[in-house]
Amino acid sequence: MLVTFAQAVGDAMREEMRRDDRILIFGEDIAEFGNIFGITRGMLEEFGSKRVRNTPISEMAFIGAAMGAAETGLRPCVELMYSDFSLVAFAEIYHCIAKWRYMHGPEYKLPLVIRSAMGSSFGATGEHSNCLESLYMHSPGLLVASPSTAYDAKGLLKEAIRNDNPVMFFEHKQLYKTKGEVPEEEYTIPFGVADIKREGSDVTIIAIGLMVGRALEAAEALAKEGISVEVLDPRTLVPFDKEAVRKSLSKTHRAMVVEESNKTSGVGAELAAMMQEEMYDELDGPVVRVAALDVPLPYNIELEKYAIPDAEQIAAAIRKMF
Amino acid sequence: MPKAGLTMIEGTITSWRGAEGAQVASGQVVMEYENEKNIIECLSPYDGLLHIVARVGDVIPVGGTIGYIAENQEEYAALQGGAGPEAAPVAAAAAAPAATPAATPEATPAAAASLPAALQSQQDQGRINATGYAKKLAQQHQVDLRAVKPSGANGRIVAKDVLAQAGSGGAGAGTTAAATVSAAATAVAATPGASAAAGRAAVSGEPVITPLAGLKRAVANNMFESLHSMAQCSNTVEFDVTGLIDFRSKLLENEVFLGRKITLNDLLTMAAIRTLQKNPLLNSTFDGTNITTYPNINLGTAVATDIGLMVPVIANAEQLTLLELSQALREVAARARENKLQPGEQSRGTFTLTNVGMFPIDTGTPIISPPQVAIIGFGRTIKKPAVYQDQICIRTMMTVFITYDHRVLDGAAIGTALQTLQKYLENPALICV
Repeated sequence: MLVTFAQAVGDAMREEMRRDDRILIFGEDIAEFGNIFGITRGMLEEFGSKRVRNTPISEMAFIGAAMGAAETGLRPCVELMYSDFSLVAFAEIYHCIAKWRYMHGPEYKLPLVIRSAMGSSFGATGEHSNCLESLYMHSPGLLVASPSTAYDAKGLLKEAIRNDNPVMFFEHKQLYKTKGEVPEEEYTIPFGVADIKREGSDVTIIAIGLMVGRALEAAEALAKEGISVEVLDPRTLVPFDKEAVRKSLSKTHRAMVVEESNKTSGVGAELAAMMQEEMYDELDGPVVRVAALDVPLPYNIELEKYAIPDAEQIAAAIRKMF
Repeated sequence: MPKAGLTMIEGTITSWRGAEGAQVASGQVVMEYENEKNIIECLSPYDGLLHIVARVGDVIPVGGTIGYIAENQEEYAALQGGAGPEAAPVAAAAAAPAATPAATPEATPAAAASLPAALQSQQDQGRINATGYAKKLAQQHQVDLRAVKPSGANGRIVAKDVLAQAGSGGAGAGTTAAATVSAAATAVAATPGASAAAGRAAVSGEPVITPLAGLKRAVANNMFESLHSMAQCSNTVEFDVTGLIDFRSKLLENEVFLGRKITLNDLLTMAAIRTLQKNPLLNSTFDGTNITTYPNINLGTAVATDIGLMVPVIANAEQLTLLELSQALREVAARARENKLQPGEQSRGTFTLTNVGMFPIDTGTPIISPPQVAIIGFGRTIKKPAVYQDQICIRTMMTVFITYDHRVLDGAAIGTALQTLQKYLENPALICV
């Protein structure tokens, strides 16, 4: 069944809510309006206003409420319209949600999913285009997922909803309209299991979210030049599938990390450090990072394109590795 | 004795580059020693006067004293007079880091971990710029990274450079050192790499440059030193080994009873041991002044391996029965081929044998392993017309060749020894007595 990424996300929530009535969703414009991307359309009608609620534009308040709901026995799957807005509720997420299971003992469970649309979308500018995975990777206690396909999005979101730990679930805006094969039957995807999106033998690209597709484009172009690129999609950044990377590197011995976030202190910084520390003997050269320029993303679409890695930039960086 | 490499437990002094009593400067090369892998230069850690304690050829455990650096003439005079050493031992400096942990133990490669400061800085100067994977491959392929031409950014050695070097026959940073052997066997050991390289040269039309490194460099130095420092002389004789072959056939028929398959090499080795027992001067070493003749025979046997020539030593070989000797020969050769000889297993030999009978080689002029005084080689066995009991008939013949140091041995001594050997080879039952 060919469905859009957005449909797959909505289906994951619908299926889980039918299975378990402790699951509820709330956020800005998700009830009557059905989310600005149409993801939650029809859910108010199906599950009622107790389980599908609009909230005021006060992220700190409703993320705090979600945490309270999770601690007291419900399983909220709440939506921050844009990942940028998570910063308004940063203390709740970074301090409380991430740490309270550690700090207050095992009787607490925090089965909470915070979904948000993220990334660049044609001139949304610096306050509405952030990719913040690396911020949340830095806070022990949070799980972080960033799927790149409809199939992965559905399987991972169902798994996230069933998990008793808080999950930051990032959905790239530009991926919502992309279509992918999703089976009719029930499935979930465990966290911490990477997916090889393309097999290759000369270099491993670890790519996240929107960048997976661009890495695949680059791989296709490079194949014609005789460079065989493996594209590894970690799918979840916490937990991270190191073994998959090790296995891939033991074949290719060259690594690149491609991300849409800024280069400095980004996901690539962490992964490059991890690889040199733990897989040094497999590396036949420096780990290369391809990331956005260290600038607030410009509103001008041409400049925005220039600031974010595309297939051509990725391919050029790979050519330099040989 | 400095520790060069994690597995090094002892080193052999190959040469003193500073003279006794000479003024040496900190950082100056005063000595060369070899471990199981390489020949390494030892730098003086201090300025001062050199007093040598350990002599060339001595095997010294890591941390053992090899000499002293005296600060002044008085101290030096006291050292010469055998007074308690106030001066800094060269080797104590080597052992010092164990007591005062290095400043950056984690950053220091294991191989250099316990080197004194002066040696440490030398290692730093020779730092090899290679990727982690290139280093891993170099270890797997026994490639000496110093011999690899870098092609990566900033002069970095990357994997393909190591593979190119391994493919060109440049491998050899492997094991051992004290190897010396017959010219014939050396040629054999060097052949695979050399012929591969030659083949490549023919295809590309360009010369292939293979720096000599590791084991092969150690062997080369030893060969050259040997021929330069002795009065070497060779003799050759052909023996009728038809009886020996028959004798071996009988042993083969009883393989199950004996529990071993006795080879011709086992019998030849046994015959050589018996010959040495009756001609003990051959089982000697000579340091230029004294001939030391040994009551026991530590027998080195040349083994050609993938990474070069090795000469494992079987200690007290004269005490072994034929069965025990057969087992010992097989065992050390197997370990040599697997590069699993222990440090010291190639040292302290008193005599060396080389057998090239598996090749179409009749004779050779093997090179003596210093400080030994002779080496015996066995050629191939071949059926040919020969005079036997005044008839021309087909007999199995084999050439035996011997190189000896004419400063210690002469034609008469060698002639007598070859007579003894002939007796054993033509009357093989005597070997077992």
